[in-house]
Amino acid sequence: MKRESTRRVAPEKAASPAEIAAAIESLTPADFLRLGQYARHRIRILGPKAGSSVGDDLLQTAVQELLEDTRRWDKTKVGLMGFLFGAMRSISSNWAKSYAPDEVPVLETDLLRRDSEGKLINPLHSHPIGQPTAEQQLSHRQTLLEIDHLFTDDQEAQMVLAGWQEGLDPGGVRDLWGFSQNDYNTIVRRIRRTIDAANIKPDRPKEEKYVQ
Amino acid sequence: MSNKRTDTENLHSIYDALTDSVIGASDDEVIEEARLVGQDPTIEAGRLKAVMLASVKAYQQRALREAREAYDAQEQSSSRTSFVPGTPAERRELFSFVLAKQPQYTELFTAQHREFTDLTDDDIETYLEDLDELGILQKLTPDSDDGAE
Repeated sequence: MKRESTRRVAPEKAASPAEIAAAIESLTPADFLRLGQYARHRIRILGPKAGSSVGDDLLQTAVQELLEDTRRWDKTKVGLMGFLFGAMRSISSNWAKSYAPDEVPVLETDLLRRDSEGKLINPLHSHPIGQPTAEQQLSHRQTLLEIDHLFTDDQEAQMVLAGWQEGLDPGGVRDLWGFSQNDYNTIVRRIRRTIDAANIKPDRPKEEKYVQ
Repeated sequence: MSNKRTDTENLHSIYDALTDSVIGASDDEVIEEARLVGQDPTIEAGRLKAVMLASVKAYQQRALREAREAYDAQEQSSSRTSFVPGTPAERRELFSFVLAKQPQYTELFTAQHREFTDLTDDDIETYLEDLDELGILQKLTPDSDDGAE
């Protein structure tokens, strides 16, 4: 899969393999679990774009790119955990960009949606290269409906989900609805565990998809 | 709330927020969530640590192997007998001999220097070193069998 260099960190500031090993050794059991869960979530976001890769592969790739100097960790600015989270996000994003899905016919009428003024728009008429395919767009809409359905009776979860869909960060969502940090954390944990339990993925393999 | 974003953008926002929420989750939460997906937190943490350290070990072993190969190659190169004579006069003599014996190498040389008239000792030494590295001098020196390839 394609690799991309990040902004360079001066060699004297970059961590050596021995420092990397020492930093790994110093992580707590909860840190390892957190890294593993983050990797698993990012792979889940990729769906079929992850190919045969699993969370371990993403985590290993992040460590390898650090060792091979494809990415440099400025240990004076960020901890190993912060570096690895950023690296996994970037790597998985690159994997998604390099994914070339097989085309599957989708009815154009299934893709029609209404804009904010209620006017019907067809995403295919403004589909730039690199954007989701028609099949993916349909899958994304269905996934959103499934998530919405999971929280029909959970108004707080709906409020947080709505905030995220507006592109708000956690602080923005808390401000919007007046949630305390603890309230917000509790709601997010509930959302995460519910979606985990339902095993809903944003891009599902074709055999699970809508049949024409 | 009005939302002018696409379904894809909305869905990615949800999943990005959910994924990022793992970063800020408490230790108790991540341990509990490991249990919820059927993992033994201690075993899983140990396994992930081993995965990461295995990457470091594999890298260090590869780097060591590459360094050793580079060292061996350098050793091999420096221990090889040089067929370039030690004095400028001897080198000039060998140079003339090579050109007389194998005129095709003259073409290689003239491609770079055009004329023989203004050759410095350094030019001749460099040229002979090039031929030596190619193993040609060993075959052409007056002391070798017949100098022919």
